[in-house]
Amino acid sequence: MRVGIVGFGKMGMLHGALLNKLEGVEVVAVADTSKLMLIAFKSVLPKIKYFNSYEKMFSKCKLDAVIIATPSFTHVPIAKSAIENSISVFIEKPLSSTLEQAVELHNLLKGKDVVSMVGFCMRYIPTFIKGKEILDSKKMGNIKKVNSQIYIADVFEEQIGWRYNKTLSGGGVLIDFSVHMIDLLYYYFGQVKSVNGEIKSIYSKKVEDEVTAELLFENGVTAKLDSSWSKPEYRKTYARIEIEGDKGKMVVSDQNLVLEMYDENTKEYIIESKWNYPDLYEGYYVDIGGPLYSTQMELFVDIVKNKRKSDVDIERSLHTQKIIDTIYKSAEQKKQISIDGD
Amino acid sequence: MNNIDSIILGDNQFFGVNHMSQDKGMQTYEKFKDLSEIKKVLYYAMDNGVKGVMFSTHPAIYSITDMIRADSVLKNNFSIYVNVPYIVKYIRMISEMGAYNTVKSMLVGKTFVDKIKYIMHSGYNIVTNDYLGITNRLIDVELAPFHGLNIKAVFLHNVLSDLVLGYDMIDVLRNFDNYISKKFGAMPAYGTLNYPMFCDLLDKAEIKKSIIMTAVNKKGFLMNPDREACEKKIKEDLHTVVAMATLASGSLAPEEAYEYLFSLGNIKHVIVGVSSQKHADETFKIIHKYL
Repeated sequence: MRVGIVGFGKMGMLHGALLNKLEGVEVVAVADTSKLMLIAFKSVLPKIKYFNSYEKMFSKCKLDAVIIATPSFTHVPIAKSAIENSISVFIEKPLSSTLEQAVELHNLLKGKDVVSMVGFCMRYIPTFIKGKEILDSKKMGNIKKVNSQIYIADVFEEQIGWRYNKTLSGGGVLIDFSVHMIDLLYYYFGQVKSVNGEIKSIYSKKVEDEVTAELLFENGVTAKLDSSWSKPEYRKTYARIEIEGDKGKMVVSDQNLVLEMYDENTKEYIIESKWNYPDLYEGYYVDIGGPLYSTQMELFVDIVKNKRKSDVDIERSLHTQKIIDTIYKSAEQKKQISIDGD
Repeated sequence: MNNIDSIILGDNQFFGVNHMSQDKGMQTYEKFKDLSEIKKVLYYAMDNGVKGVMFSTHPAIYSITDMIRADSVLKNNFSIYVNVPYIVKYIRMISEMGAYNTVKSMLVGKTFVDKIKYIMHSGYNIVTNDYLGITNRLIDVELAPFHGLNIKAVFLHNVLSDLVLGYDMIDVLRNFDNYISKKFGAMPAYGTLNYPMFCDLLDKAEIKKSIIMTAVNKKGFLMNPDREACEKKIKEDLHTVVAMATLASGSLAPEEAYEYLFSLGNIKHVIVGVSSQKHADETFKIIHKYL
């Protein structure tokens, strides 16, 4: 399997490294707009072909798949060009900076013989995988309440760059970071019917730094979300979901999972199982930056080789994009809004 | 034969890194915001015969190294092991802020003359297409806070080593190996979470008898592709292994953990984090039974 990478920054480089270590997979081409980066890598990695535009790379290289790890506002044009060249795509999250572009991309897919995957990596964190298994076992009974949080210490003054410019990024913490939790909630509870949201800027002038939202799912579950990229106490990403059912409750975070069952006799919750991250770490073909990324790339190669539909393809990620878009609308109109067209 | 310390004090606890609990990590982070608390831990370690300490290059590192330089006992007794991870940061900074702003923010805190020297040297590297030379300038920046201290070894952080592994960049390894020993007179060393595969890469780069910091624990935590494969490779005794994550992030009891670790035979060096006197006394006592 021959892979190209568009955008050779931190994520592009990481995905490429993971792909190279999978049997029968090779990164053969890289496209990046930074001339300095291209020359630098050429001097240490001469086996790879380098291009200063993705169009040139697609037309000159025979590729089976491409990793798109560029700023989000360029995802759709690059993915469209790849799909038109019959190249399967892995697109970093978020799918797009606007819903309109995401819809356009989805429409283009019809009848094309390619597969797609979007980079929502938190589903592959071992504790969240275990949490999904427990949820699907229906052990906790009917779900009554869901609370979720995702925080990081990142923005404490006005920042420079496309991420903080709404015209380019489509928004702030919600579209860039909280979207990870929205994908996790979608993975856990299915499609969303309507949302109610509020956004707040603290340090950034053009984008929001905090978001709170209520997501009403088709299956009747309501989930609360609280997220910020301006929490000094969270030096690393902190993601947590608290799920309460009529038979038991579960708290799952990126670091541990506690399952408690309700005891009818004592009328109390009793811890049934507890896992910490090291308990669920199983050994990976290679670990560069965390097992979630290894699992993600293994899956991507599997879907490309077997032309299999991914659980997190463009079609499904379009739903995530709609949720984001509707939260922004709800925040603006200050009312609950339903997800149109779903 | 190298003479690295058998016990090296780690620094994760000082910066609030805890893989088991971010809450616990935060508590220790709050505690060690006070430099005198870090100083105390260094003395507890020294009381237990531990004279090696590892530091990751970190925005707050200058305050710690200044504290050590100002204390002649610590300065003269401790060997410093540096872990250089922040080069990855520059990649993101360059792609998001542009090269100019990156260089500007990298040079915060340096004197005017240092800045000029640095920029001219880097400029020379760019003009001559010497990109490994640029990497070396970044290493210079990373190691600047440690001037005047006894730097025993410089580790390439596992994320970087493993990224190098992902692309089989043997030239980068050779450059790092040469540069660290020639420029700093320190031992080049590597962190990795993929020990068997990384040994193969060192072999390709013809780097023999190196120093490798890698996870070794009964749980197989951070050991890839799995515990058995790592144990087998450790038995081949190709490199000096510095064992890390020995307690699997607190999920193993020290007695059980170290009994396993030293039963492997070829493990003679460990890196451990301690955060209090009691913790230091207990931990080092158990390890001293074996080392």
